[in-house]
Amino acid sequence: MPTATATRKTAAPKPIPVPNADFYQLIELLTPEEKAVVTKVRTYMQTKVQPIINKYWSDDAFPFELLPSFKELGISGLG
Amino acid sequence: MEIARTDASFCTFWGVHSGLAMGSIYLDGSEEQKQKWLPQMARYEKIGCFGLTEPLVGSGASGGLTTTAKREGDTWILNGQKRWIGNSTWCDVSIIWARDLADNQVKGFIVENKSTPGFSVEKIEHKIALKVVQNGQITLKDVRVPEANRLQGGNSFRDTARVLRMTRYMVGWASTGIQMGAFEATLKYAQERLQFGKPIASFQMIQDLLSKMLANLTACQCLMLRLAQLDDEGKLDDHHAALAKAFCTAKSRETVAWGREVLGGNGIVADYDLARFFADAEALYSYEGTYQMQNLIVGKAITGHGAFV
Repeated sequence: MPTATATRKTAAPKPIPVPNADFYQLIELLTPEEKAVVTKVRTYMQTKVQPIINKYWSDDAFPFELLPSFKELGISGLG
Repeated sequence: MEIARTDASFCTFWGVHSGLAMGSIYLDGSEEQKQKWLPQMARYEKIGCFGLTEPLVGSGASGGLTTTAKREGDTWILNGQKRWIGNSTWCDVSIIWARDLADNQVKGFIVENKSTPGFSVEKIEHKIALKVVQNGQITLKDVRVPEANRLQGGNSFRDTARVLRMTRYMVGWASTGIQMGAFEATLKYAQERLQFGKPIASFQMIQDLLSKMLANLTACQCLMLRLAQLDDEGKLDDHHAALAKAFCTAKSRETVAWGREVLGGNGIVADYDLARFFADAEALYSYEGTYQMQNLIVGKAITGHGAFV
């Protein structure tokens, strides 16, 4: 016999959105080559700089050991 | 933008070397100077800094540099001090701007920091922003620079200003990047931090702050995008860059303050990125031309009246 509260299918919880500050998708304006540079820089910053930078900032110090790997990025072009 | 999204100090180190130092040689150097210096600087074999600001002269640089340059034959003698010079405590080469005693015009000189007698640097301590950048106060005492190292295309402050226009525009991007990093770190924190058994990201007042942060940074991104188009077309002018730098750095202070607020007590601890973004936004607001100077540049362009003094 049907009850007042019908059986509701339990929906799978929606995934929580991953924080992304490119709300208007500016990245899509770039060519594939340009996107590749952005990805390369972002990966470097997130994997090499992010893990250590708060400590260096607190200590008023510069992470000189990153210079060789930063050089490899090849982004010293003029902006 | 992408570098500042993680850290503004690292972006500043890169911008000073790549934009200010290399940019000075690129825009104001002769072909020989470009060939001699730029390739090795592009490979980071020599890292540069930019010496314009002085202990007593910041905004007034266009009219009153106290660092002097006196020509004796094929050698220039430089005397004076420069302050706030990022990278200077450790880098290899400085672009020093000095007032030529003969014609009172500002000229630029490539000085090799580590091998030039009379050139010394003291680290500026106790900063509360951009703490990773090693800023120095440079003292030049009878520093001798060959004519070959004078920027051949740097004959007045107008030539210095061309470099500043480019780097000022870059600060617009950097301050947009800080906002992006702050927003993402704040949202991630809000999604994970529970109060009353729920993530704070589910509370209205937190969502309001997050939305406002996103609106600010999205507006900056779109503004900078248009500026990039103008730059590509060769139409980027001082007042365009000034408007962007003023607006984006001002919005950036607002955005990072909201982010810091969301983190509560954790927002005053450096281990959580927001404290660093919060403090660093102050430096970007003031350096590369203060907020006030930027608005005066725009003011002159739109009214026809220069109101600097």
